[in-house]
Amino acid sequence: MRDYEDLQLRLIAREYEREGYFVSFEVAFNGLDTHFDAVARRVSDGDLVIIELVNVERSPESREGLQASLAALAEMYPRARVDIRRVDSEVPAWTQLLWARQRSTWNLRTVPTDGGEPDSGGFQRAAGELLLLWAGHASLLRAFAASSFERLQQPASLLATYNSLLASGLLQAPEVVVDDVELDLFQLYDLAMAALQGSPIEPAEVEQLRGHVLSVRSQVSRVLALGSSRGGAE
Amino acid sequence: MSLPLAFVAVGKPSSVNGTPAKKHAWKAIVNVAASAAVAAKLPPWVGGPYPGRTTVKLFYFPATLQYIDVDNGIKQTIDGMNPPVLLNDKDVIRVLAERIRPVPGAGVVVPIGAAFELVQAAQIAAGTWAAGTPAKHATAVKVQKHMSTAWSLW
Repeated sequence: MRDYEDLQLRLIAREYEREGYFVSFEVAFNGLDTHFDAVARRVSDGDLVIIELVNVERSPESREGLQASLAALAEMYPRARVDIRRVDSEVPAWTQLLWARQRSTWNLRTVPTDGGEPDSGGFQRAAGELLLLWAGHASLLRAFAASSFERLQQPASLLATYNSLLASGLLQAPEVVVDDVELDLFQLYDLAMAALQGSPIEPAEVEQLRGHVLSVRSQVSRVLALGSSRGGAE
Repeated sequence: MSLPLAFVAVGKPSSVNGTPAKKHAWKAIVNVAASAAVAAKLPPWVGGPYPGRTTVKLFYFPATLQYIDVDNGIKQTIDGMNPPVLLNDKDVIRVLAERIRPVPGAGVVVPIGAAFELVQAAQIAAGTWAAGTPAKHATAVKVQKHMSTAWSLW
């Protein structure tokens, strides 16, 4: 995993090297606690850029000294800049979710029932219910998109199709218009993929998807009714 | 108060189409974060609401790739700062807003003096700011006295 991050850091470094910078990795400045992922310096004009990676696969380090370190560096190099850069993730988000749940499931996530026995079956049942709801919801979204967009461009992923529906204003995100819904469809997708791989799911997460299904069904009905009434008037 | 003030609000900005409960929830999040920033970052003799012409900058770091309008939440974010940061939201005469999507290679290059809150927001959105904390939507907010840029932004 670390090798993959290193590879991407080197690709970013190459961007700077092409512009005449010299790039150092894992840089510590005298008297400061924080190590920076990389620093790019250009001798010709004295330009200095701190490169800070944002990598979802990396365990967070202590950030305690970061603010003070940046403030101290700002005094030493007031014209320096910080390049905050997101790097690719080798592993899909749902796989990370699956791993996290597999690590914690049997120890922490199986809550005892009244009789004292862990109810792991409840999480498995919730996973089954989530997958059933997901299958229906995915079909509804695809059908709605097919009927709404005259020329569907190439086969698009479900999530891309959903984003097109949101961007066109045909749908409003349920987590925006329904009080009890907090998760967006991308988060629910990760849950569905994790469930498909055998991850347990919490009943509250099923309720989040149910909120999406009900909201979208209602919105689709409204749009279709509006469309047919307009068609009838013409 | 005339010093720039920056802070990070964590959560999903409410939309203009959002429910009243969601709008109030987001305004409350902004208000708490703004109040904490005033208390922590500005000396007492400087602190207090911004009088006069003000610029507000919003850098939104979503945690997922779901489509969202970049103007979502701007009104509620400004309302949430009124008070403690703004004396009157009518004083805001410039708003800059940008969304930084969580895709490989995306990022921002900023002056070092303005970097901390943006680093914080980017790491929160990736779930890498603190151990055991899931990725959450984060908005870096900066409020400063308005200065004419002689139309250079246009």
